[in-house]
Amino acid sequence: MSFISIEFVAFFCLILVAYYFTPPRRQWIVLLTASYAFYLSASPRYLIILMINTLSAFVFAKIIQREREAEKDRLTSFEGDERKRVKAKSLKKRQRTLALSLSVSLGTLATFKFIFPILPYGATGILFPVGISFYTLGIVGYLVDVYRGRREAEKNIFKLALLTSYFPHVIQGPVLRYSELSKSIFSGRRAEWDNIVSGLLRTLWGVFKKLVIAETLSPAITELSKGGEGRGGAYVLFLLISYAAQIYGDFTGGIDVALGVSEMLGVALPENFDRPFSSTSLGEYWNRWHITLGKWFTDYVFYPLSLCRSIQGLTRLCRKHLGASIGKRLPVYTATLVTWFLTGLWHGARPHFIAWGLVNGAMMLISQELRPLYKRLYSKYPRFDGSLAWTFVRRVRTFLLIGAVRLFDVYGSVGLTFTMLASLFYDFESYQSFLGGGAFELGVSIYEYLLVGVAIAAVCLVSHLNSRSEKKAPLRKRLVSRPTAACICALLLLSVSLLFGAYGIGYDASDFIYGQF
Amino acid sequence: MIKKRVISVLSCALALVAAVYLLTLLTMPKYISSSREGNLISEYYGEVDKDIAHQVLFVGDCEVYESFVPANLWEEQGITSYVRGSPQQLIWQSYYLLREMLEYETPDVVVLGVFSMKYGEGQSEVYNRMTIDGMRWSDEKWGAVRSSLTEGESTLSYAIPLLRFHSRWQELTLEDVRYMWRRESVSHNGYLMQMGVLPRPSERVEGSQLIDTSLPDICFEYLDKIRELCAESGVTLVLVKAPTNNWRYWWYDEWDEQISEYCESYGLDYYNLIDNCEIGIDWERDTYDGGVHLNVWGAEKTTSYLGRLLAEKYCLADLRGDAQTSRIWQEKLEKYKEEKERAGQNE
Amino acid sequence: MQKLIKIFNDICPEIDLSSSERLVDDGILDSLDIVALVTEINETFDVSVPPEEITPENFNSSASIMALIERLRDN
Repeated sequence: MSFISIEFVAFFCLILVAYYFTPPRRQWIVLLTASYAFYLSASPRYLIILMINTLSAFVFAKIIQREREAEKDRLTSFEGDERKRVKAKSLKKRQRTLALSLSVSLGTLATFKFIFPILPYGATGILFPVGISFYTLGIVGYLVDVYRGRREAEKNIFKLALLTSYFPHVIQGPVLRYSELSKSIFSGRRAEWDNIVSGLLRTLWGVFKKLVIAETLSPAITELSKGGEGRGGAYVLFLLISYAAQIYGDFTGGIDVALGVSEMLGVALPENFDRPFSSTSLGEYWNRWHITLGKWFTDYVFYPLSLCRSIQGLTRLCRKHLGASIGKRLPVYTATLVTWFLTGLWHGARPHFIAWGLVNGAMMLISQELRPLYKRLYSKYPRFDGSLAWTFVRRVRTFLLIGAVRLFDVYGSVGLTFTMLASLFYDFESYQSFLGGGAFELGVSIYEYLLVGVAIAAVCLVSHLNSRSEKKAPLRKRLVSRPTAACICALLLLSVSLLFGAYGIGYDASDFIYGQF
Repeated sequence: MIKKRVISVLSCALALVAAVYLLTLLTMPKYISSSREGNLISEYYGEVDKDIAHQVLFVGDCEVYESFVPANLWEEQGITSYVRGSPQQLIWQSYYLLREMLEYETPDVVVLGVFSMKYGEGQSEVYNRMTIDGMRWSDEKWGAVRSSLTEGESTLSYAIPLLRFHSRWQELTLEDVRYMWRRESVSHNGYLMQMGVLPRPSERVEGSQLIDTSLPDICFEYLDKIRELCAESGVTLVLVKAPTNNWRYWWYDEWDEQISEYCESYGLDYYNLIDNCEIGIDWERDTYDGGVHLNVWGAEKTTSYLGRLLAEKYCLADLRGDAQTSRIWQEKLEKYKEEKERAGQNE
Repeated sequence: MQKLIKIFNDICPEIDLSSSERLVDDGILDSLDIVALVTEINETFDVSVPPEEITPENFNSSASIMALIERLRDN
């Protein structure tokens, strides 16, 4: 069941009613039932994997917790060196348990992501379990948090089951921290106008972005991503820009639906995007795009890796033998690249995903190195710093850089991406062809481009209005106090999506011709 | 506060229904400047709303609505009729359409075109739309939808055609706005007039060899249903094959045999009009597309023949004596003749 | 405190420590800066900042960083 379907609408209406008619303390059970029902419809074969992962996490977390509590008890009867020994022994035990639990979760993910696709009998029939990439990260975060003592192990396995399977997040995320989620998802609530209207508006906004922007551009992107003759040069640039629009519409739209739906249930999920294309630097971009993923990898991979004993030892070693400059860079940069490598790997086990990750990491490090240079530039030409024109230039530069890296994703092949990027500089014929109307031969009509343009303008306007609010409240929250305006917006969004959205038979690849018998 | 919210939610819901309704009307194809046959099914309701009954109902695909002329039946035999045809109308669609019509009236005779018996499964989404969209909401409409869905189609898109036709937003023309609510009829009691002339090539191309010569079982199931429906309603069912017979639209002897056998075992009349000299089709002049369909002259000849047959064999009253009926049908006849003249001048 | 300011000036000379009480939240300090800082802090103050303590609350201002160091030293 996809989010944008009549089945989901019917399903969600049912859930919403059942949810608010249930007494608050039991509402989470409705969510659990709904999430498992949703998972069953999306990926019935792999429900068992989700259940195994949940059970494993539950059991291991309890073991770690129990060991920590036992340690506390034991410590009272020891002193001095003995204490140190007991502590070390307990720590080792907890570490072993953690390692075991992580290998179960990460092992399952690795099996489906890396091993099955390359087996001789191929991936036919072995589809990807829905949400496994997201709930695995959630589970790993949960286990590490219990290990670190940041939170207690969940006492009720069904509650953990809800955290891992919570239906709004299984399709496209966001990456959840169970510690945060458990603060709101288990306390029931009464139906509130504000939540429901605000959530509904957000959901419709997401549907609009997905159907009108992302889906409309699909044919052009499918066509251009094949690469090859006549698709180089200007078309690469065009693909870069349209893919940025498409992935923005699809990803942020999907997240809007997820967060909006959850908001209607009164459960707040973390934001995943924050005006990403307003970023003036790569670092800023990765704080604004797929925020939850970046934060997860930073907290659970980058920091532990860069601050672990071996890396710290390496830092000291480097400093001693290779000087302070390299000393402070080498270990941290290594940790950065490893983190980005893993981020790429998380997306998929293909070379182009890994290349995407490493190139992103490398570019972040390069921009880090260039910081003193920029500082000197700004001190020499103070007019630059903060000027509107320069900010605009930086935004365009960032947009193009990120867009170029994203091409790995579209072309799906490292070699092809480099080839096509290179053609930007020598395929002059393509510029002619493009200016001669080449864009209209990609399966997207001029009206559709105009439509996307208007939709993007609308998105920019809303984004701008959101950022201008004093209380940092997004537009939809300000609309809840004005029922008429809210209803008009909802009506508009739905009508526009129904009329202009690129869904259904009329948009099939096969030509639809009326009047030809 | 609550009152204000309730009112806004209710008005929002109402406004949504209104918006979807209007957008549906706007985006649905109007079938005026092209594909006029898309309007045929719905034009029947013009008769229903005026309480006009018919002695003969024709049901079937293009071979029916381009071969039989109600105006001619009236002029020569005083018989009232309607042709409920549509492009590539499938046998189950004919069943449901007939069932629907029998809710409104009880004719004396139903003439069923048999060409659709060759199609055992859904063929084209386009033709499904042309046949079913024109139907008013009824059990029969949903029956027709369910039995006709091709891949990718959904029942919901028939209930809310906006879901199917919204992609036409790029092709909207003034015509789409002009004909949102009302349209002039394109047919004459279901007969779609064709004025062109394109002779059938003398080197006639026969149909290619068939691997499986039997007509699909499911078609006979529906033929049974039609037969039983007619029997229940006290209506005489007559099967007919129009005179056209050409290459891709070849009517095979094997099929003809099967239909004949069926009719014999159930005591039904079946008239295969192919190569019928009495009708006198002139393949140089009476077809507009090289022998696949008849133009108005060929259709009039065919109807003339069938009219005599119907009047003789089925005791159909000559209603030219009835003043009210005469008035209505005289008007129809005049409109028909007017168009024929006008279109003839344009050719 | 002085030692902390010196570390800061060494590691991130282009950042003004007193410019904000929301160094992390406003993106002034990024993760690479934090790691460099923490490495130096570990060395200088002989503490071991665990990864779970790297939160915006602890690193948003010089005062909160100092408080974190004190807390770790006491333990």
